[in-house]
Amino acid sequence: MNDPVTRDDLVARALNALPEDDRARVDAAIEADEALRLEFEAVAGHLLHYDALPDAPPPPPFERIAKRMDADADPDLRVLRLGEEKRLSLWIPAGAAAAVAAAFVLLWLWMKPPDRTPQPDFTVGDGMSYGRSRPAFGEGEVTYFLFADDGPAEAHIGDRVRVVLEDAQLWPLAENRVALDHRGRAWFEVKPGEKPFVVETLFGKVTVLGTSFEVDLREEDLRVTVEEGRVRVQEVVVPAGHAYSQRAGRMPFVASTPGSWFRLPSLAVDVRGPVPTVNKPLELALTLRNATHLDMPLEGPGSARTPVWLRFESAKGELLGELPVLPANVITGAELLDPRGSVVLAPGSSKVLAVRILPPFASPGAYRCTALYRPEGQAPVLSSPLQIEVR
Amino acid sequence: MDGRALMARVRDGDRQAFEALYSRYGSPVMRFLFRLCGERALAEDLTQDVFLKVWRAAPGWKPLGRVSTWLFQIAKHHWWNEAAKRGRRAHLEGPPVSPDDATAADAASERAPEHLARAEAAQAVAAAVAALSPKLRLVFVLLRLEGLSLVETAEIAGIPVGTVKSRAAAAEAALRKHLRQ
Repeated sequence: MNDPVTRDDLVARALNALPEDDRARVDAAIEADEALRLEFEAVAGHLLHYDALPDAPPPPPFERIAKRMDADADPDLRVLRLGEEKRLSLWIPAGAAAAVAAAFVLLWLWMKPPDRTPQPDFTVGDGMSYGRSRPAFGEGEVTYFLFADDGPAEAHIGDRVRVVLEDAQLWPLAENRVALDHRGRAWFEVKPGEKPFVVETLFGKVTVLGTSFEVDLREEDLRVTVEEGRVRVQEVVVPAGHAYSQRAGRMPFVASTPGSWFRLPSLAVDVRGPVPTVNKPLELALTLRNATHLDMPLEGPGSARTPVWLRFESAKGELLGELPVLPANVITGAELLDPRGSVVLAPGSSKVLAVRILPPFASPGAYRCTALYRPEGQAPVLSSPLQIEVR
Repeated sequence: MDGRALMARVRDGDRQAFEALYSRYGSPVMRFLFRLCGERALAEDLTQDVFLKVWRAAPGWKPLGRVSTWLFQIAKHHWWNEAAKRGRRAHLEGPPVSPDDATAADAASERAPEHLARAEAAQAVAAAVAALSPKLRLVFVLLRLEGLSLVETAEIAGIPVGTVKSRAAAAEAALRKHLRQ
């Protein structure tokens, strides 16, 4: 069966850069498919401009390079180098000692076992290709990476991992460690093993012992959907039948699947330890609104500019779905790096319940903070920045 | 003789093989550098430098990939470093649209009035390419003008294939926008 014609094929055809067989295949496809013909005409029309580019001039004659090669081997240059050797001769004993030391270091490095495990074997199925490049994450040296040509394709890493890539690029860094490019979707099936299997992403590590799950990386968004077993995303454990979602710099969510993100009451969180995140009040208000289905306006436009540092308490995480406001400490301030005041929230509050200054910010002075409060019978409101004085 | 066999002889210090290598790859490298920097004299200098570097680096060459990819990598690095070193930001920011460099188009415009449109188009396209950012221009030149594959372009540019795709699409969108103005 003929390969499907891609946009690259059309561009190459328009540039007249296809081999004869491919050209016949692409021409036949263009002839048979009206939509393809229209796309080709658009591409070709666009590329007519490229043809108009001025021809590149010829390269300089080889003699010029040959002259410079000869200059490299010029005897005058050798004299210069000999002169340098004379000046350096005073340092010969020191140089010899350094050389001996360097030899010892090299010998030690040679005998020392390598720190990193070699890149694992992998096999690729139809529609999967591989190349060599530097991984987006993980170790920085050039290694092989896998990518699907067009649509989902399968590969095996070692004898433990089966992966289906859709539009992601994957670097198999070790038997139990892979890195994903900054966006794309990959589904993993990992056989149980002694070592945890780790997927490194821009947003941190996804760790499993043996399970099947999907990692969906967007520009600023990570989603991990767990089919079987349990997956740990950073510090959050995601059980089977649930999915984890995180946007850059914002709070992570875990939701049961299938279903829309942030839709209650199916929300369930299993958080070990606090999950810190940094949000601005507007984002916080939107997130709270999504979580509670309550409209949550900002009291004044000034409040949108005051940063908020939000911290969930792990023990209360499971109550998220039942509470009208989130059980959270909100620490606010004019500067992210210098949070000044805090507001303690409680469900059913008709006003700001309490304002307290948390250590180490309890020293006397004036502080700014934003309060989240809930007027009786109304939706919670994020206040304009408040001035608080500590004496 | 294929590129690797030729390069293997260059590695052994065979000067004739190096001349053969130059006659085979000199034009693509010159064209690549000319499309990047847009100035004939500078492109010639850079081409000479690149092949001198190849000659000097040849003893350490290993037959790991395609010779053309290796040469383009050296050329890209050299273009980037030289432009930064000489403080010629203009060459990184975009080749000048100079009638001296648009040789073919200008010669055509002098020959006959019907070539005027082509000369104008050449200037317009050269200006559009010049207006691309260095990163987009590099991908566009490799992928669309040199006709390299996605993987080769990714290797030379030192970026993932996905980034090559997105940069190529961004470059084409920018060119389309520029050419419509």
